[in-house]
Amino acid sequence: MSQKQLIRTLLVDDEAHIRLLMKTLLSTMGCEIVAEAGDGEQALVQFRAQRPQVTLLDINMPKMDGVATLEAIRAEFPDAFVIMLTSLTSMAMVERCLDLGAANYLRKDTPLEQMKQEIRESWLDHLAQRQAAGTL
Amino acid sequence: MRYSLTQMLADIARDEQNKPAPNPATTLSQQEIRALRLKRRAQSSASTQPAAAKQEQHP
Repeated sequence: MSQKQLIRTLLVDDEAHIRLLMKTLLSTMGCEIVAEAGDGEQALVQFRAQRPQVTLLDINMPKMDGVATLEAIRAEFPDAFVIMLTSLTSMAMVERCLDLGAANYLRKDTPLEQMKQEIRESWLDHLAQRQAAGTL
Repeated sequence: MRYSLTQMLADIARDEQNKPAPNPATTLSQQEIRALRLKRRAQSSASTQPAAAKQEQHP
């Protein structure tokens, strides 16, 4: 997020105004939105087509929810960097998503500056892990 | 008066922040989620480090 090259990002949320908000936020962080999806099925199609570096994923969505989508993406692309962005914040849900490999879990009511900090920190952590594993 | 994009985004962010939490007793704050995430990461790296060190000793 400090690199010169834009970070290819997929936004997944069934609410268009949330996508607009996140699109605006991410554009200030060096991200380029390469695709958007309004449900999990579309998200999977877009992920396969675009291979984004960053995915922001809602949970409560029609057709295929965010948990099933996360599971499907990570099964197919184990290195996928996915951050959950949701209003569902039960301990069980957070743990389930972390177990499935979500890089972070953000509440939608998180102040925008804090959200940026969490996204940036997780991304740098992801890069460091990949570098250490020799997959970068 | 013209409704600007900046104003709209500020309104969306404020609306999200003002939504009542479903039940504070059963939900986690962002700070609690962060603490849980970092704790799990620390546990995970602690469990992989001894194995990695062992591998280095016995290639």
